[in-house]
Amino acid sequence: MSIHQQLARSTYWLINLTLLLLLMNLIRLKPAQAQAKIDLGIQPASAFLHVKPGEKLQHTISLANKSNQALEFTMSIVDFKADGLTGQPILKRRSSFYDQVSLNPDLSKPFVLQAGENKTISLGLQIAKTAPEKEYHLTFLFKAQPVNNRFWQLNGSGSQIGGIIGSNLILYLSPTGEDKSAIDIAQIETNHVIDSLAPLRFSILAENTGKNSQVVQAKAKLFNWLDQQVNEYFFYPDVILAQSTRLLRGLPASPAITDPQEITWTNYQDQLSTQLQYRPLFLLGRYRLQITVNQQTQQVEIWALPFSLIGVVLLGLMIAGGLRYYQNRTL
Amino acid sequence: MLAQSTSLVLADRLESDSYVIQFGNFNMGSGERDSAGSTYHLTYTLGQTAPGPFGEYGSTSYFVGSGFQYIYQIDEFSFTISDITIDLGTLTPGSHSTDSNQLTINTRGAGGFTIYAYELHPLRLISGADEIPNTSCDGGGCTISNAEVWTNTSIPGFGFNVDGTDKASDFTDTTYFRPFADEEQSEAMQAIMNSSALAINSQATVTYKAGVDENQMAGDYETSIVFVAVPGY
Repeated sequence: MSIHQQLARSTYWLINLTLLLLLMNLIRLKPAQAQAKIDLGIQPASAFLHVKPGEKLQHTISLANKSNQALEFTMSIVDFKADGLTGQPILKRRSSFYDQVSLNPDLSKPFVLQAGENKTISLGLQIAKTAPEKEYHLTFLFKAQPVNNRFWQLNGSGSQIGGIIGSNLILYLSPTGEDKSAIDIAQIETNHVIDSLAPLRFSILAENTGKNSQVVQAKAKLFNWLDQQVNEYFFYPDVILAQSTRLLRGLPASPAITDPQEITWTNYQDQLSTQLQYRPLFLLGRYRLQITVNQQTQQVEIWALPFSLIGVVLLGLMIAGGLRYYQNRTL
Repeated sequence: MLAQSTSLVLADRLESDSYVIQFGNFNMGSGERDSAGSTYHLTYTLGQTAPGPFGEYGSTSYFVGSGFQYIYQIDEFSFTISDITIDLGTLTPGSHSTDSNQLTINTRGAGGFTIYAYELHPLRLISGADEIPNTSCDGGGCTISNAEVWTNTSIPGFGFNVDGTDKASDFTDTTYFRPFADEEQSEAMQAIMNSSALAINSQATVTYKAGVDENQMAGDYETSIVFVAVPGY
């Protein structure tokens, strides 16, 4: 038998043996496994509610387990403080709200959602009669972890991953629900003297020193030294929490935008900015920026002077003078 | 002389001991329609009570979007972790082991989002007899809030990098690592991704890295990492 025939014969028997062993399950092909993932959805992302001391509040949160496995959830409530700039909560470790409320006791127990299951959670919050007039900034956290521990799947060292998803509740405790917000301009950030060839830039930090959150309503107008309006700016109606600040997001008025109501999140979220600017080819003289935030108005003056042009002229004169001096010396 | 009489108006509040109907509404019709060619998708509610809007931004001191159609402003906030088992395999001195997963956020609200991260404790032997310390990176200066370069495979530790949309700014590139905030040491969890704008499939890759030196006890080291996704307001 030639070598080729021997090789073919060996291959034939090897294939047959492999098939036999497979049939006998002595060689187990590792089954393909879908990656275990956590996929969560929650509604609402944020809610603003009012309740009187002594009353009971029903707050509903919808939670979705869109993962490919069952997850066990535990709920907790923590306070958050505003970051003071962009409306992002900074979570604290616990909540002072527990002192003023009693929760449905069943909600403190873990619960399981199967893969693809949704759950509507109705939170009953009984507010203490003695609860002081105050706005609470709360985040309901839902911690999700696999029902089955997966460490056995590791081939060595590693980590199991858990996910927590939050839903914010800004709750105003007040016997009357009267609006006690107080929104004002905290700071206007701008350079008071700029070069004529540079853009005029500004940003507005608004503050709410009152007791409850409020939507900010703001406009800005820019006038030149002839008191002619050269530009106008509209601002998105963001919410400023009680005792916090926020940078206002706006955009310049344009032929497409003539009314603040036209600024919706859907249409203009890509154009909104906390840094506004006015950038013609050349600025000169005194400019007056008039800013109105919730009926409070402030004005700042910005002077545009041709420093760079003066510098270029001076540099030119120096070079010319230097050349002349050199020529005279040479002669 | 004009005599007037007023009658008491009673409005129904739909509730019982076991339910409260929110957004209660008396309609005469509702539904949705799609155009041929999908040039538009329309939902409608007819005859509902007192539909808005009321008030006007910049003019009145209030704005109320009243009616069932305003429910579309209440959108779902969603968060996905692509793989919940991070397998670093066998750790050997003089080399780093890595694994990764993806975080994805969707929020249509104007408030944006923040994702925080923390570990329950450092990588630890199941018996608890030894730990792999959290990394301090090549220069010894990275912290739970400030990433630095960690490429020297002779430097042991455990840390992570974030790469993608809306990552924290200190993750300059994929060589920059931080240790996780340690829950056991009461370290505050740290933001790793955030945005104040709308996020549609905002995605980032988290790379976990671990390394050991020759003094590390043999065995499998484990910990748990938790990611916290919070919407803005």
